[in-house]
Amino acid sequence: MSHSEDNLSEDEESRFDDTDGGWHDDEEFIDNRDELDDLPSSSRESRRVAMELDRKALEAENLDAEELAQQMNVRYGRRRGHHIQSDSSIPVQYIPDVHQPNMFVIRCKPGKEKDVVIQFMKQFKESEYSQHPLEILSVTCRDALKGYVYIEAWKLAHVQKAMVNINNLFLSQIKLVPLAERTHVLTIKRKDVKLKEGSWAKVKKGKYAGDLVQIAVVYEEGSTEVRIKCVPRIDEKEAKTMPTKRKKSTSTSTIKVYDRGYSEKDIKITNLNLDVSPTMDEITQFLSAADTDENNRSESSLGLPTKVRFAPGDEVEVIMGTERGIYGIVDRVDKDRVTFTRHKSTQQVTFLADSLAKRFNIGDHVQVLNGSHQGEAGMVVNIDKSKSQITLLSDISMSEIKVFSKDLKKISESTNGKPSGAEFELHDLVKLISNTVGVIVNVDANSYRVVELKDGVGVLSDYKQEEIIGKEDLRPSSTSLGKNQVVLKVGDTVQDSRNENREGKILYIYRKYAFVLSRGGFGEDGGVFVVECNTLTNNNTRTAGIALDKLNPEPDPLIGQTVTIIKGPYKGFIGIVKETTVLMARVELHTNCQIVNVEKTKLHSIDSNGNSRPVVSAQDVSTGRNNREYSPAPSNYSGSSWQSSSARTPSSWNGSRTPTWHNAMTPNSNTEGSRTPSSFADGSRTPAVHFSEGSRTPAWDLDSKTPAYNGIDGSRTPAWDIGSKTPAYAIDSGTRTPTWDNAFPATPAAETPSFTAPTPAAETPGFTAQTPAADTPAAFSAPTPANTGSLMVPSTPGPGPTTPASFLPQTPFVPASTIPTGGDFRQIRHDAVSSSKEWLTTDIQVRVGPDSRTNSSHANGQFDNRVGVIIHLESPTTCIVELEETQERCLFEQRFLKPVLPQKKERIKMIGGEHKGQLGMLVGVDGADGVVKVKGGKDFKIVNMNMMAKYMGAEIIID
Amino acid sequence: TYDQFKREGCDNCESFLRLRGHSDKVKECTSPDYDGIIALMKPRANSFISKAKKLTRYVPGTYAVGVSGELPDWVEEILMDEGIYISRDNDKYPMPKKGHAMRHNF
Repeated sequence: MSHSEDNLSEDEESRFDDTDGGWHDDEEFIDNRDELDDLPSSSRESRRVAMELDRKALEAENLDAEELAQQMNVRYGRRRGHHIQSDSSIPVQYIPDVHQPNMFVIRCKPGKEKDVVIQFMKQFKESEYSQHPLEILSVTCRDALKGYVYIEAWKLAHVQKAMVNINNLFLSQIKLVPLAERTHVLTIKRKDVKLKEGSWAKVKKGKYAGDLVQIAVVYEEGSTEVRIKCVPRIDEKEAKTMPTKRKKSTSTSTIKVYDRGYSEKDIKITNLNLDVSPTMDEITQFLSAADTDENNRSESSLGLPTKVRFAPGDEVEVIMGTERGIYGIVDRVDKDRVTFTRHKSTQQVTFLADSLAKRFNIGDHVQVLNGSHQGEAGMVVNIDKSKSQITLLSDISMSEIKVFSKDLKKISESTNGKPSGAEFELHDLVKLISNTVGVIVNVDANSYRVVELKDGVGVLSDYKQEEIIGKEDLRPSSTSLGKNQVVLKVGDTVQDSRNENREGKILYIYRKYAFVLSRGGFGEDGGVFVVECNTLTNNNTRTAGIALDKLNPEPDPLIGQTVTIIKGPYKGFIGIVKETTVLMARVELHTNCQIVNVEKTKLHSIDSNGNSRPVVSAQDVSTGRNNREYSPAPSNYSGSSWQSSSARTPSSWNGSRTPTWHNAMTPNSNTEGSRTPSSFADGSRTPAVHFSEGSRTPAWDLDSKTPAYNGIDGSRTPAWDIGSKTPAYAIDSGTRTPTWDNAFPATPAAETPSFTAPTPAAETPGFTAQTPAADTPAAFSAPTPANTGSLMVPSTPGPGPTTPASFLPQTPFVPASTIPTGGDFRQIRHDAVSSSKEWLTTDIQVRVGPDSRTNSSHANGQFDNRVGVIIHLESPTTCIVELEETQERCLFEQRFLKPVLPQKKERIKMIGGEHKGQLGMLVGVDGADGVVKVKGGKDFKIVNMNMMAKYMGAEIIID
Repeated sequence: TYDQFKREGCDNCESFLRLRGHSDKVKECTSPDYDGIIALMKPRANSFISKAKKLTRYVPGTYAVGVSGELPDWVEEILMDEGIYISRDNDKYPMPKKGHAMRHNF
């Protein structure tokens, strides 16, 4: 209901608030309205009174419940004491609290949830009496939550430990379930569709997928199957042989049961969609398939009245029971219960939806909502006795249409047949009157609750059918780039990087926003939220939506590096590079494990000595080069074309040498030289030619194919010629080009140019500096060492200086060696501690070093790398250190000190975290965490290594 | 599995229902129609699952989140006497029946 409605509706609402105490369902829109200033204050006042009354009514109710409970106790007093508590008539939803163990959700292979749970149970049983029993409390899965398993445990480590031997789990994706969502795990969505014989359903899969079927026999309660009647589908071949006969088929060996033309079969309930609302024509189609006489097809054979959805404002009539005939206008719909105000009275009555039908009068102007006549408008000319079928005279065709009353709605004026009443479904993306789009999260017959995209955020609001302009058609294939240039597609499972708990499946991608349906459809706003694509990360590791940068098999050497951020809001922070793109890096900060996006230019890597250097030169980034290949040593390859063509590194080149190598390397060689593939084959067969070409000894060229060679040269950049060949050579080229082309395919020598020519590098001036010879031997010698080796020596004195060795320095391994590797992490991590807070404490071992931020050293670095023990704290950030060896005592600032990392079995002192100051023994190291046996305590604690330092004090910590 | 149930019975209710070895009884008291399973390792710990599902008094095992089906009268009577309440949430017996039906059900 929108605020534009007048006081009348307002009053009406207050009225039913009074009578029923049930405004609770409408809380949301009342809230909305509270914000509106234009409401008459009197109505607000009346609402307040109503709320007060409600509250009292609720209290009274609660009282009743208590009384009832007491009565129950008296009646069933012999029960065991401990059960009595749980005996209240309806199990109250148990609310989790913070003192309870954590619940983690882990993704698993969809369909394997139960398997996983049972695996856990088995694991538990096996380990129960062993030394290390599983410490998790429970594992739960739900049919409704496909691909997720919920584990209760006190600690993440317990979960991780328990997961070790479980198959089909995605280890990487453990997440904490927020308190509020925990109840969802156990919330069973009611099967409110009860199976009734004669009701309608649709088959979900198999041969009859999508077909309307009627339930013929419902077996005893608990059976997973029902017998259905369906219109048999006949193979066309079969149909030809016996075109009309549909009765007992003798041609098939399997026994089929037919009943008056219908095929009857048992089918799993789970394979049926019971929530269908078939239209008249579907049903008549179904019925017309039967061989029954016309007489037999009475009205009753149309089956049970199908499910009707009512909405406030509908005029309804009771069609069953003793109250039959009373009618009125619907006020409220609460699932199956419909409350309406009787006509010409203020009395409110509530009925089950099953016993109601929409009420129309002959002469009413109505519009068809569903079915093949959808959108058509017409006048009611006949209403059948059961009130469920209505005949109307269409405005367009002037013919009579028979439809169910449920598929009709009253319209005030003639629409001139304009089909406007397109029905929308749950999760449709619709265009709204306010020129925004939204996703429908709840459908009532006349109004829709829509998560609307407004100014970049999702807003929940209600819209009437008329206020929805139509479905917004988007290409289903639309994609967008998420965080880190990850490709996002509709249907991908994504996660909001700003809010870990928000994840789900992309319903729509609209411009730069994505509408996401959260897992299981739980959560507020019908589980749909709107988020900017660029904050989403793709969880579909298997789908094609791979990050662009992952197309490159070579990992960025930067990944895993410890870096310090030198600019921007995170300046001074230290972290580990998790992922990279061309320009950006995702850095996990040591301080709070937050992952931030930082431009690569703002990163400095830190080596073991604490020296930092830029990760990439600004120029590299600006040329758009992918730094992962060449970041630290790009100078040799200033020609960018070469690099772009060879996104692969030298090592991968070598892997793919063979004729295909030529093709892969040189896509345009074919067109350029206009040579046939056969010439390639020749070329690849004669490594001698290649080789000599690569090394380019003038003698060789002159002898065998000067003209051919020149011809090609002419087509290329002069730089190349000049750099590598004799000038005379180049001059020739101009004159001979035409002849060369013809001769070229014939002579084996001609291929050699084809090889070098295509490599784009040859065309760039930058390449000359590098001497092509250096490349070619490297590429060739690796594939066929025997050949090249033998040829190399005699033919080319030239390549000597540019042997494969000269090639190697450009491999990505160089960067790896110049930038600190994994081994250095620890050292640097301490900077995170030291730069973020005060960690100084006595009796710990420290190492003197330069300040990681300013790179300055204490006393010109004369104490750098010395180790000592903190004797005394002068202030939280200054202390006196007794240096080893010399026993000098010096005053140091915290920034020049780093705690010395303890080794296994060494005594430690906590320098941060909740256990700060405690002593203990480092029992083991697990990645970034250390397992510590705290002094005096019995159990082990898992503490980040950053939070501890080697203890040098006198206290003995007994193992 | 069903056989397992028949063979071993249910640790929770064996004392009063005595399902062990009685295939007909097992059949009556179990239901193939359930939703979700719980592997309950530590029912007595302060676990949300076991509290919400009122499984704190049960033995560790595999339970269903919800079961639907109908219990025979005699079983209902016994359960009543034992003080186990059958929660009737729309014809579902999520609690005790689950205890019976689903434990060892695999």
